[in-house]
Amino acid sequence: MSSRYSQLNVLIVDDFNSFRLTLSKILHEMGFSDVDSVGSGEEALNFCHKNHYDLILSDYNLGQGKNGQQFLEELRINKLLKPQDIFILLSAETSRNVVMSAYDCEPDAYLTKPITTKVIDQRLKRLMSKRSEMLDIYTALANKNQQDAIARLEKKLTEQTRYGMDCQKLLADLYIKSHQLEKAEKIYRTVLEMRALDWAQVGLADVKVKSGEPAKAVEWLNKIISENPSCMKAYDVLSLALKDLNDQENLQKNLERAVEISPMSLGRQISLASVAMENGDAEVAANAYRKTMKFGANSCHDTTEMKLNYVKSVARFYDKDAIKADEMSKDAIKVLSVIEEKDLDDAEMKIKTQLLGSQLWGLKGETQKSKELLDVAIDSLDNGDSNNLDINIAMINALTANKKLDEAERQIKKLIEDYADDQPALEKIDPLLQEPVSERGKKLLAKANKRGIDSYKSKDYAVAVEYFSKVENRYPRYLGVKLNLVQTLIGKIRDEGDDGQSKARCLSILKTVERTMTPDNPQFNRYRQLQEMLRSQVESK
Amino acid sequence: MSDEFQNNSESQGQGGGKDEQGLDFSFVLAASVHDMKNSLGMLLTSLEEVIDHAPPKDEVQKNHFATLQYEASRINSELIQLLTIYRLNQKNLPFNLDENYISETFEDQVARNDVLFRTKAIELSIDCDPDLAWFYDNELIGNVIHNVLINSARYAKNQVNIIAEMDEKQLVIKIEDDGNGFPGFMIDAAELESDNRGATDSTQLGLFFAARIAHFHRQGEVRGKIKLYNGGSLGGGVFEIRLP
Repeated sequence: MSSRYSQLNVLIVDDFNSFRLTLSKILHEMGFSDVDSVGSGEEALNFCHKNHYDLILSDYNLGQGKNGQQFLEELRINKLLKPQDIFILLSAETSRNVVMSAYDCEPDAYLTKPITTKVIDQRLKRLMSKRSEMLDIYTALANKNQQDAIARLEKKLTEQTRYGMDCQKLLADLYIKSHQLEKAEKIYRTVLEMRALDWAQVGLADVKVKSGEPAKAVEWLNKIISENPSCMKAYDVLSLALKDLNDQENLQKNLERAVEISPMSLGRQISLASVAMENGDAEVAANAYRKTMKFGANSCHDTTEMKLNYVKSVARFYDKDAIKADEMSKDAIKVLSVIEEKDLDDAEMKIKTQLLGSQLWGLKGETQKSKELLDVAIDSLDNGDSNNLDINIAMINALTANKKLDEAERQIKKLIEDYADDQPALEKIDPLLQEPVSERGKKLLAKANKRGIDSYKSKDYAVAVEYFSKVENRYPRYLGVKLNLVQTLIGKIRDEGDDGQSKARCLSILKTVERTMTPDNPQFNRYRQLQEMLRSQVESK
Repeated sequence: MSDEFQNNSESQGQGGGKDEQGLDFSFVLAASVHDMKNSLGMLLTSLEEVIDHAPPKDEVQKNHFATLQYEASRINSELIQLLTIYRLNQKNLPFNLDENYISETFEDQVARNDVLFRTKAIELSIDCDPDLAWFYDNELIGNVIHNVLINSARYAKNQVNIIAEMDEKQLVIKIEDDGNGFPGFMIDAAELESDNRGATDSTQLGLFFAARIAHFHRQGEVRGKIKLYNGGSLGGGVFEIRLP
């Protein structure tokens, strides 16, 4: 026994020296001879880059810096853990279930402090005996030989094994990964005949998504979640299904629910931020990015990119609610200065930061600061030219915030010409425009307009408002939709009376239109007409 | 104090009700319970080290250690119960049903209380088929067993048995001791709790907790139950939990 353990490398991570000593003593007594110990997550990660460890015991709370979960997450992302390696998380923090449901990745075992010698001894023996029974399967997986792993699992399941359930779980997973959906489904159904276990229910829903029945999966997953709201995997599969259905709205709702239950899960928080941004819900996006920064400090998600996205979402929120956005911008300015202090080596990132800063200061009405940053960026860009689309867009936003509308307009025209054959690029440009240029944007607009106008004609104003608002949220600069929305609201006031909000909404929309409206705009006459209509509507009351 | 805790958590549901100052009292209480629990955890670890380094020299010292150990464990487990009940009330108690080996669940809880039982000189034996597996949330059931073990450490004379067996497609876990048995009012209270008719003020938190956790486990319409009685193979108190 001791000879088997003596070949394994062990790493202990705990910020308390006395605990490291105690644990190391216990492990030596058990027969482990190569035991390293470190006091922080950062050190631990360095050690793991240099050496390979078969067994890692890490405390959850490691004082300042990375915590044990973030350490584990980075090990997994950097592929420093092999399938046969054992990672044990120790914690006094809270219960296993609570910690586990809060994060993206799971350790092999979770031990609650206080930990007695007997507890650790016993648990290690169990984990090691499972490891030795499953070693051939883990090795096949480590060698990326999925077919071999599947064959070995299938064989193991015909024999007597203590790890039958684990094998089934793993095998179904591998079947899904290798697109043998029917076989995966069979395993899940067999398990479910015995007991309605969440992992099998979610697995079955996953099979449905992957075999092209996302609607069915959505139905099942909603049921699983309503019975057990802490089943995080269900939210993840539901997100996949909703993505397939192109149901952006419910996708955002689902992610919002998931991060409410487990705010520390950075993966979900980041997905939420980007979906909300796509949906034009800059407020939700800004909040999600802020939490990502808060909980992701010291983690691999703690990047300049993330911070810039946060500031971008705040800037975007100015299109919707300038007063609230102004409130949020204080924090965004702080984040920008954090990025600047880093003295960025990455020239591209540096310019993006300057342009975003210029845009934000401009939106805040600090013309001088905004202009200074814009000039610096233009200087370093060699006359403001760049062939990086993200920088081009940032430049246009900064120019607009600096009221250099003609120059912004010129650059937009040039971009549309340059990217005429690049649909994904055009989709990125759409939000800057008063009218979409990408095929997808045009289709989306045409569909919403048709449905909205049909509803308007049949005096179904509430429905029409909903269709137009959806597009307006996502693309707050689309002029035609804004005017359609105003016209619908006026119709609603005329036929149904003002509900106390419609008139105010009309005024606020017209105000945002006014900012960019010029007499040579093809929609100018319509704009004036609607202004007139609203005025006469209000006066007649 | 306890009234406020209860009222608050009842009225607020999931969103978190706040008073005029924006203070969510039950949340504050839960957070502080959480801190106390962690401090106690540290205290218990230190205590174990002390006992390891300086084993008791005589009977009197041994009794002192045992009392310290017992009382600290008891507070610790009560705090865990409080937190679990808080989460249950907030409807965000994570529930992780899976197949588990009962012998492993037993071993974990026995090891967790190893020092306590050794200082008390009580023999703790497991009677369970090592291959017997069943469906339950390992952490929640583990905590129920933990609480019962701590309780029996106080009332047992020399022996505690922890037994698992199957009975009509239900898992039955029994924890027996050789003490004087439970008083009648507790046996009645357990019965009421188990049928969800409990009047929480008259019973112990531990019973309420165990009954709620049992109730959480269900197969179709059948739910888990707890029961207290006297007798068993050791002639003392028996705690029984049935999981469908």
